Amino acid sequence: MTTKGCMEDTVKTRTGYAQEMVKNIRILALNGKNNFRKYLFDPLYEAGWYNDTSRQSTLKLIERMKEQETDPSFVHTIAPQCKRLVCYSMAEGLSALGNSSIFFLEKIQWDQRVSLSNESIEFTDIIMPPLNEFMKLNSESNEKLFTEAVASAKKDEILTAFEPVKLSSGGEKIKLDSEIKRLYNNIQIASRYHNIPKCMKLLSTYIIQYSDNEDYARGDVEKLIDAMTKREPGFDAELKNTMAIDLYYRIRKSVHSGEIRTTIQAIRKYGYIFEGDSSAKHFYDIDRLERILYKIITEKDLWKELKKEARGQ
Amino acid sequence: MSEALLKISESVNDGICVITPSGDIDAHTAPQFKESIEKNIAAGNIRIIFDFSSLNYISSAGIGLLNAALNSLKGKGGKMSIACASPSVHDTLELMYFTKKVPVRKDIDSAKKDI
Repeated sequence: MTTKGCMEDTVKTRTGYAQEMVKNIRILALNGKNNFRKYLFDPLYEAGWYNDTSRQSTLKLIERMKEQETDPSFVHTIAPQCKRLVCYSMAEGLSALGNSSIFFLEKIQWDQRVSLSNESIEFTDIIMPPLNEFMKLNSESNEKLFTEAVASAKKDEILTAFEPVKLSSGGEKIKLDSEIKRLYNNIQIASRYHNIPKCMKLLSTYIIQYSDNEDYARGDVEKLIDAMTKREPGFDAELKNTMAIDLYYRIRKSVHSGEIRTTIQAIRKYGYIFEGDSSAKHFYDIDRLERILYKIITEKDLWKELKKEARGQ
Repeated sequence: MSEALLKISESVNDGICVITPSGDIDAHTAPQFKESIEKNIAAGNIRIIFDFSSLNYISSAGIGLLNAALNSLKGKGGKMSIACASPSVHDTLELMYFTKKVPVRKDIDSAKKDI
């Protein structure tokens, strides 16, 4: 592999991690102050990042950095500024630390010069191991929560979770046709400016929203992905990761807040998008949740009514 | 939870391929099921019946594979059908809307008429 190839891979890997860490921090935030302190604040504190000398709030600092973003000469200062931001935010509070960390991780995904900076590498090296540890520990409690949520869910709640997407009704078909046209246009604009993250976001949003619909424009979407991958090698794999992380985040968040409908729909979407691809992220975690779900449906004797829903009766 | 097991038998007669998985199709066994489907399609077996008479469980990973097989077969001018699913497997296929795409027949002979 060439040095350039190596660098591109490093950037992609780090960008992928950054994206996952954003989701992990959001999940961590749902799990109480003690966990947030233990798995994010403490590791940064122990690494010497705490700094209480700032007189400005984290939000104000973020706003100012956002204003500077459009200036190309600003790019090389982003990572050092983000590091300072995270350090200052630690003195302000846990919520500020969460915001500043997510902001830094988003900047890492935004420009490869940021992702390759010493500050970014230092930051991700500090927070990644504890976040991974938390996610591993949390996986078991996630299953327990899911079991409890489904077991205690009202019958109607489970039934509506399986309501079919309106298939092939005139209005829905027209909506999907116009959505795919809009997707083409937006991707064309984003790719003209070489805004790959935007293209990825547009595609992942579209696929997650419509992939389980009968009129989903699968062929068109595949053409778009092929075209983007020719232009940006590895785009297809990154897109897969993005969607898997997004759906897994939806599942965990909805499990946590007891939104059973969202959980079930996300599981179904995952199934249709990844078509049994065992290399997809969180493949096994989601499969375990699905087994729990079917077991409880059987125990609650809901199959008959669920099928009525699926048939649209 | 113990790991799921899957055995797959295949036969081809009169241009119709019958794939019979026995056990569970979930995340752990999906790769094995996928390999069987892909191998048969690559060999030119584009009229496929899935005999689910010995299948105890199918997760969305397995249904995703069936969906992929359906798309692949459509692209090659082929067809697929499903036969002999147990009530629980049939229920899952129905909930995942897959029966709207491919009907589930009560026996192999009825499934043959589909393809």
